[in-house]
Amino acid sequence: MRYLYKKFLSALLTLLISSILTFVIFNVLPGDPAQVILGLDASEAQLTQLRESMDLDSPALYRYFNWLENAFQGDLGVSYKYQREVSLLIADAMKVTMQLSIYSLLLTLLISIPFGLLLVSKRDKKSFIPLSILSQVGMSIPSFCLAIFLIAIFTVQLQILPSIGYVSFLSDPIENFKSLLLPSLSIAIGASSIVVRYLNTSVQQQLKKDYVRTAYSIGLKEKAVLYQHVLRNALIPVITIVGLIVADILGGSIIIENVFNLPGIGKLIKSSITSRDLPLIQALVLYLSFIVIVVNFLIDILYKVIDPRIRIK
Amino acid sequence: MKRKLLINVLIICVIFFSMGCKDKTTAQTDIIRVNIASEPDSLDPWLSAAVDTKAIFNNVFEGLMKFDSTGDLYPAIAKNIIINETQDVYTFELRENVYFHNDKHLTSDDVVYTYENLHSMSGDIANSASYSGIEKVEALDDYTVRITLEKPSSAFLSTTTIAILPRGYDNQSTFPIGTGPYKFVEYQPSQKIVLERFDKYYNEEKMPEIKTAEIYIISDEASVVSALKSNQLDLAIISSENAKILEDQFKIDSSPMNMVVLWALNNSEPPFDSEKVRLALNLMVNRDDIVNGVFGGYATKLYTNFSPIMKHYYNEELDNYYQRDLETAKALLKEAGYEDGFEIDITVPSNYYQHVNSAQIISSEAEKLNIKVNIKNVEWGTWLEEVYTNRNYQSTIIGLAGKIDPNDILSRYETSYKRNFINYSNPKYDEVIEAAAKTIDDDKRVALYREAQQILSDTSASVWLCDPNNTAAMRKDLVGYEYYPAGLIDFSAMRYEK
Repeated sequence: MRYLYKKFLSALLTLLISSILTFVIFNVLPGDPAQVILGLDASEAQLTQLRESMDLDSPALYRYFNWLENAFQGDLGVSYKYQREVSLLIADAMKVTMQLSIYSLLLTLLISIPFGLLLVSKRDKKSFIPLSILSQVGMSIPSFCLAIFLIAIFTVQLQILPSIGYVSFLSDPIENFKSLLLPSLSIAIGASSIVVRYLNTSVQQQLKKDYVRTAYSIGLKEKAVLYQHVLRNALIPVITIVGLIVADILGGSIIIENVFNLPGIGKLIKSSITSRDLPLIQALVLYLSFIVIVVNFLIDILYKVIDPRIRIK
Repeated sequence: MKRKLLINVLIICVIFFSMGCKDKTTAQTDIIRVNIASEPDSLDPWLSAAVDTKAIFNNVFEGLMKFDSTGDLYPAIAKNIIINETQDVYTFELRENVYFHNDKHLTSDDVVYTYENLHSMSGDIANSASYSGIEKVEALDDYTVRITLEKPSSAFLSTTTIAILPRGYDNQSTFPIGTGPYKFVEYQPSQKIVLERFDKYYNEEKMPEIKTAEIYIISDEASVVSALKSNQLDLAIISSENAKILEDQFKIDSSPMNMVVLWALNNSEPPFDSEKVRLALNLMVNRDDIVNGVFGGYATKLYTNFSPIMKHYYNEELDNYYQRDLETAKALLKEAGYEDGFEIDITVPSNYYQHVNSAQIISSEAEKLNIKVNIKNVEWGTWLEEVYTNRNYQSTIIGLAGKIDPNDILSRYETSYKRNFINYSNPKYDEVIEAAAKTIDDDKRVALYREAQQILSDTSASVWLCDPNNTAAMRKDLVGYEYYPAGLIDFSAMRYEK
């Protein structure tokens, strides 16, 4: 209980600090949001009208506290640029990013676990080196390169998967899966290479521990030692890294979402920053901080499940 | 066991991929899918200022008058216009069969509402400064409106292209309603805008053939090209470099954009306060290098702040006005007291890579005259504030989007103009522009605007570089695409050849 209470307080503090920082930064940065949104050809009258609708003429401190008060009541304001409620915009974008995260995570696990285990089982054999190089290569190709490569094959050449145009799950589940397959794959290939390497290193470390020798000495077979004892212990650092990857994707993959034109969090972040859309930026920062806090919390819990010796403080 | 699994996986793959193959061989003809590079700035046509947004929403909204593809005006919602001799009273006879997309019948009341709002007569703030010269708007009957101006204005008619909106509808910024050939269906932020044919459109001749238009918001050019190549787009606005790659597979349309890309010199900052220095830079710059190196040859060289595509007003004597001549340039710098050269900044908005590249070409040219150029890349928001609004810069490279009315293009260099960001000040120029705006006689007006262009070149107000082409690649069976100098895309004129 005390643990939850502490977590909650620190989460609240993190959110508050990040909101203050964002507000200060975007008030110091040059760039008038009205001019950025309307561009070079805006007339003076149009600019004035937009500025008034954004309430930009009130003092900064007043605007911040006003925002804070509303935020506490669940009202995050209206986006300057889209003229829609920020919470609705984020909710819509979150649906896309959430699906992208789920597909990417599933693909990452689907690729990395068999491959990682294969690598572990070949650790003393000659075939280890090419396999290890393969995972190194997967890790070092930037995701956008991979994305362009996948588009060139599956979209331009074979024409079996789309590269733009997201379709929602409810309107057509199959098209939805197809529209998210390439982007998830672009993320998953890099991510799974990282997971594989972590898994491999972690297993190698565990194999040097005393309990492994004991296990062998009581006559357990290699497979039993590996899968029943070593793997479980080796999973702790792997889960941390998987958690970080999930938080990263949930935070919106700016590059991947832009290359595949997915209306997710990443694309929203880019457009909110370039258009100086402060209410939207504020809410996105809150969302991102929240994701990191929640994912970290879940990882803590998972640790406990995997290794009951770990106490949550 | 393993083999069974493999077979299952293979079967799933085959099913999945075969589903992907449907409809890919027969291209659809009831939809047009195009791209735009940026999000709409506002769905409300009275608040929107971005060229990209207008290009699309021109299909949804209509004014009393409309521009055709040559930049000439023709009556749209109005069927007839009567202008009095002194050009300060405009009487518009409206069509009687015009409906808004919410099925409301358009009458003169909506026109009165529109112009009152634009002029802020009902107590609101002015929607746009262009309408401040309106004295009175009256509905003479259900289908006749009379607009009286405070003083004659030759530019007034071109401002009547602004959207007529229905009285009593407040949701324009979320669900816009107009009278155009296409109606708004939805806008998914960061994704697409969907429009659909409006079956009650009043003009049978211009009734669209293509039922649906989907406009995808894609900022990444590589994504645009791959989407076009894989039949996910039917028409793509691309950069000229990509035109060459797509030439074989697609129909390419390339025409001057009516834009002015210039190396803008802050006339009140030394050394650019010296006319000789500005002339020297005009003689130094290699416009061919910029046209070929940056725009792949798809651009027209400029020697004044006006594009030759606006034939009616363009001063042809200014073609090749500056002949490249480094020796004369050196001599001019010497006369201006800069024999040993100088150091300058070019502040470029980093999101426009063409401008950044042009700055690099200029920088290497400038070395020959002992001028050291520092290229400062800044973010767009910073550029707008520091350069465009505060004029706190030495020089910059920027493209000024074209307007149909010459006054909108040339008045930006009037001394008192709020966005005269190069700080150009020339009493003679101010006089000419003012006189032109008041002149009713077309020949005289043309002569005055030509004179204004001449003054800009004679005083080397800045270094004009080029008018880049608007380049579009489209499906070979798509016909009717035409580039409008006002930057519009007219879906109703397009169709697929059978």
